Amino acid sequence: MATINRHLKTPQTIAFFAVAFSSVIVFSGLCHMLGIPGEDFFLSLRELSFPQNQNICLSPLLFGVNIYRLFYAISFLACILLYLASRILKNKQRDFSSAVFSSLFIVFALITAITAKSRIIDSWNLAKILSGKTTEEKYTMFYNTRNIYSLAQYYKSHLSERQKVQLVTDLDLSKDPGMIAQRMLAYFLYPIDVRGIRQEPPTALIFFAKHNALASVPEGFQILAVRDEENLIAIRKKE
Amino acid sequence: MPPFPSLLLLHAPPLIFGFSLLTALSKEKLPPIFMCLALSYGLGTGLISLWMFVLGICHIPFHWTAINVPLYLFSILLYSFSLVRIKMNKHPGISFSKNPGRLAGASIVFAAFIVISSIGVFWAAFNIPILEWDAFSTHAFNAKVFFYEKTFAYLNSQPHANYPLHIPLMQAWLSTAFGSWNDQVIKTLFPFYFLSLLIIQYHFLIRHTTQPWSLLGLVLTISSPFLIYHATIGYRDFTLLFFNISAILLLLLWQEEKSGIYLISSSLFSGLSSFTKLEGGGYLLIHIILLTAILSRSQAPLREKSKSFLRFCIPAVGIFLLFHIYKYFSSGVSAALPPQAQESLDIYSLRIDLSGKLLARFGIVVNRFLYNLFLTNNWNIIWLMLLFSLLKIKKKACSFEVKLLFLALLLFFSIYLAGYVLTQHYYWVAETETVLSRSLLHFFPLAPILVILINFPGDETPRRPH
Repeated sequence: MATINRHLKTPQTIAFFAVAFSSVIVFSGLCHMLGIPGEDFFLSLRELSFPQNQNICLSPLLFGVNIYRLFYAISFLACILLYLASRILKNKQRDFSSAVFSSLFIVFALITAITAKSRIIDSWNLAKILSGKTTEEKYTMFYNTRNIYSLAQYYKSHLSERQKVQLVTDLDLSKDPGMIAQRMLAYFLYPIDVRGIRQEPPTALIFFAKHNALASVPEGFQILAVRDEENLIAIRKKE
Repeated sequence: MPPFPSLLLLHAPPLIFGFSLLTALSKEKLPPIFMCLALSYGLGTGLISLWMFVLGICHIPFHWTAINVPLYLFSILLYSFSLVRIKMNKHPGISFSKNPGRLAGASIVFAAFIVISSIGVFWAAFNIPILEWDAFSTHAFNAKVFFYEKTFAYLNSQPHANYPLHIPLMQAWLSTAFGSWNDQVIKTLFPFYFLSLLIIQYHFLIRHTTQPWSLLGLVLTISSPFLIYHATIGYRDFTLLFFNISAILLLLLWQEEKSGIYLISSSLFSGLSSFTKLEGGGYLLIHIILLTAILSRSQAPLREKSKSFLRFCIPAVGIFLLFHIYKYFSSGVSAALPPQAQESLDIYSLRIDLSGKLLARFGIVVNRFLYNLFLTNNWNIIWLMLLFSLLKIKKKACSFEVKLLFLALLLFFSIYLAGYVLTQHYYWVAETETVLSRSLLHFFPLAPILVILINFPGDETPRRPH
């Protein structure tokens, strides 16, 4: 009994109970404020997804509330409870600091577990989809918008390896989605030069997402291959 | 896609080149084996990209032979040099310090988390091809141009023409070694930087704490979803993070152990950070400030301090100047840039804005910083843990390492605050989400390292691997 009593009074144990109690208060407080049943709340919490992005990983919202605000509320409340506990138990300053660090660590572990679970599930699903696929198939799967990858392979099959081409398109290349579409096409096509790297005069035109492309082929060029009404290749006529 | 073992073999040459450099430069006993491998990988990739850069500016096409044969010969020369020194008893020999022992208790949980995360990073890098905006648009595209053209003849008309070239050159090298351009192979570079970072950070922490706390430090670092994500994508930011943080930690290791290999490795990593991204030039300045702080505290004679200062500055600044002098004179500051090259940060035409809106801009930038640090899913609650740790710290009990790392953190924040408030790049922070997280990423690991060092109980005995 004395051993259990001693373990219950360790900073880590007190921190655990402080975080648990704070979590209950914060989550039930939020449910009450928003008028949401507890079951719905926990279901939403379980189904939270944490999107990843090369520029920023935004925090998901739980019923319109940034989830990190809730974690900070739990941490803050836990610190207050720990302070009160340290006064009641007459703990040393060092034990109080240790308990606060432990409580922050517990909240950290909670966030890590939630985000890791989301990441593992997403990675597992992605692994099943990607299993056995070639790079070409992966690109076709990822970039199905406008079939950029397969379009690039089509253009490559009709042009010589180091051809200099000019892109003709209705897309606004100064911003996305036109900008990234052009860059992806240029990447997949190189050493067929779409971006003016080699600064030679173009010997072919690539019509990409061009409305009524057939009618847009200029004088001095002839149609080489037609993919569809918006995508075709024209080459310079020989003089 | 070739089998995983043969992809691993692709990365053997940087280890061979880097290790030869490490043994030749070291006059003392080498660090533990894994630390040697981590340092070798960083040095080896730097050696490859710098050599390719030299070939490029000398108009020598970088075919496989032109790149690798001189590097292999150079490595053989360095190994021979090391062997001669061993025979002449001027070197302690290539023996490795003892590694830390078995895992126990919480260490097992932490180690499992680290291993699973690392497997995830390797899986993503080896299975998901290049997908990201910047990769298609700039560095992977530039790497492809280098692979096909094998020259710098078109460098000035390539996108982001004035950006440093470490990553495009390394990706071109990978494809050259592989034998053809491969959108998957060029991504396999980044998980090795991730692994090397973890090793170097662990090696640093184990000197000041115990095994569980050192592993906890790694757990705190990789708990950042943003950091983990960047380790799996083909962006330059993670590489810059690796060189930057390694340079700082190696400086601190040198300060404690006085082992010359740490100073020279730190210097080379600092120079390589400036060869990875433009911001690396600013980080080089911060590394020099940290070195000055270390030397000012040292009891060594002025002559020794000057020698150490030059030993650091000459290689680091040399790498920095090599690229920037070449770019400055080859492109011409006033020459009109082709359209695709104009979208980049041009450090030769930074405009400082000291208008009356300065205070308002400062408020907005600070607001964006606070939002990014505390209300996004980038960093877990590491910054909150750091704030708490700093509040409880006692000045007297604060070790020099903690003070130096805190100084480094302040310098990084200051440089970015000043840069975003005072220049035209205010736009990127105020109006977009594009750059701030990536800027913070470059020095984020300092936060978990500080959390561990400050909170480590003073009555537990730290492990000393040597």
